[in-house]
Amino acid sequence: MAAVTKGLENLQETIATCQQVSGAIATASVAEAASARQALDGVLAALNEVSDKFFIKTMMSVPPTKACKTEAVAVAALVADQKWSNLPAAVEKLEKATRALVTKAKMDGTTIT
Amino acid sequence: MAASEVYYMNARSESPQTSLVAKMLTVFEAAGIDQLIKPGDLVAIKIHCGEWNNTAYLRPVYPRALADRIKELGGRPFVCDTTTLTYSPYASRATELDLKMTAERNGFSSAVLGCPFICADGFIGTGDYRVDVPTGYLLKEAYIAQAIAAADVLICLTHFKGHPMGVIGGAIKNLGIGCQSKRGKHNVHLGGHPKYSVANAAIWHPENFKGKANMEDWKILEDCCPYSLFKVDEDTIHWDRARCTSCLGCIGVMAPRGLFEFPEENFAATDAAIADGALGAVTAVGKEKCGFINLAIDISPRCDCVSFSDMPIVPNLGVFASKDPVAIDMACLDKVRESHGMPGSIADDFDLLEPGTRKFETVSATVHGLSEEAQINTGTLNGLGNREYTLIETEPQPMQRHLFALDQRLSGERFRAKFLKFTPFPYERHDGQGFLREQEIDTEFVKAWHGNGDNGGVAGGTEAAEGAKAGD
Repeated sequence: MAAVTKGLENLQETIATCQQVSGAIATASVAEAASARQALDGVLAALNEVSDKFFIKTMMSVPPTKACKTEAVAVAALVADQKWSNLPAAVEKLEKATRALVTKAKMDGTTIT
Repeated sequence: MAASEVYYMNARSESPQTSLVAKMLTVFEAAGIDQLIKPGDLVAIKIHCGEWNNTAYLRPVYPRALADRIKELGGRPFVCDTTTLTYSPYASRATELDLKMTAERNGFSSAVLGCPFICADGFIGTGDYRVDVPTGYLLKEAYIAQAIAAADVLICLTHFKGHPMGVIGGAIKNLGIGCQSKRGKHNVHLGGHPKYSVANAAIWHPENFKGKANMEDWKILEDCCPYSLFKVDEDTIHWDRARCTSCLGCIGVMAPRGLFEFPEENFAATDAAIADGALGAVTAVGKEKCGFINLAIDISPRCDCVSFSDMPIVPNLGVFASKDPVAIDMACLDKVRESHGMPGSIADDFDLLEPGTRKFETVSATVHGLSEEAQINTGTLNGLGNREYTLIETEPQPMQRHLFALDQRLSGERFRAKFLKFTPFPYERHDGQGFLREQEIDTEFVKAWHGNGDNGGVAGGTEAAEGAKAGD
């Protein structure tokens, strides 16, 4: 069985992808790119904030961080292909996955033992 | 050492004798656990009664049926569980009162069970019996709940599932945590241990406390500890770690706030200690007086000790019985590995749907690096049991043994006089047809969706509606 990619590794890859996308769209003149960049700033802030939480070191962090990574990769693919019209929906999915991660990282009511 | 026998029936049911209750009783007898019970014996049936709002714990009908069978054998059964450590700021089973109220809400009462439900370690959890565990891998003594230690026979009736710290929750954990008193649980969770206790293993980050003004719920930091070991000032937090007992009431508060970090080693050492605690429980009762039944159904990723139940990670797998707690857990674990994962479950989230994967250490363990075999391996090393087993497929018993037990006469004999006196069928109405109904309907019509009635609905509805208005 392949080793499970840790939550922290997923998160770092997600952050790197978001940063790369943010840089790539910085010079794009279309409206979709501008709003995506603003959204990505929020996503990056949220991801950085959870990066030092205990949750990220647990197995429980793997699925939600993997979801963020998947959505970030999807956004990056659209930007690479300059499919601007599809960008808002993809960014929204990334924001939703990030919100889910932030919520889970609070570990409200989670029993660790 | 010869392989231990594990008796097994799968989870399929299509007749009274293959109901899971019947299968549980069938493997109980096939494994010879019934032979352990002599007339007058006090028989402890150790179950997990489930946390508040957990829904995956075993249904009370299983211990009920087992208790009925034990009474037939002349034994005096009682069903029991033990008080917990606090484990969280919102513990629901940490005193006898809370345990019994939670258990009753979950269906475990004497009325349901046909025998008493007992909190086996007393009101606070200090009613226990100390035993030496000289072959223990980590622990050298254990504190066993008094009512369990006092029993002539112990039957662990276990829901096999995952566990965040133990990785698996099977017979070994039912013994190694479930049969320990609260004092014993402090021991198994390594309170006071120079290396593995929370006090000595946790990495403490008081610098992550940013002051009361920046933490709206700062009071929980003080109030989560039953020993009052945390003190919060305006800008700092203090922990009297020398007095920490590893009750674990705080870690779900401290860790998410960045105040605690836990090395994997702390969890791994506890997994080993669980098997030593299990050996203590078996020693207290007598190894030859213990039997184990595992029901591998509703196999949730987290234990029945959490206040929720996620969907099962694999389909129901079956019913197991053995006199060896190590072998029975190994057999269940192998079945889980052989199984497909459940689509839509957390096993799916982790891409563990293919057979042959080690599911629990991924989906259940809190931290990376734990093994779903640690309890089993330690239980082999300390002499608790044998991980080598022979799985014996067991045939169903005759159907007659599993019919409605309170009156086994045929329906004609039982109900003839009653139905003559209180005839449920109104023969005298509607020319002997009994009830007002359409003579014929279009059954094909209702098999398909035809919209919201805008095509006219079913013909002939008017007469029935008028009859209803007349109260007919």
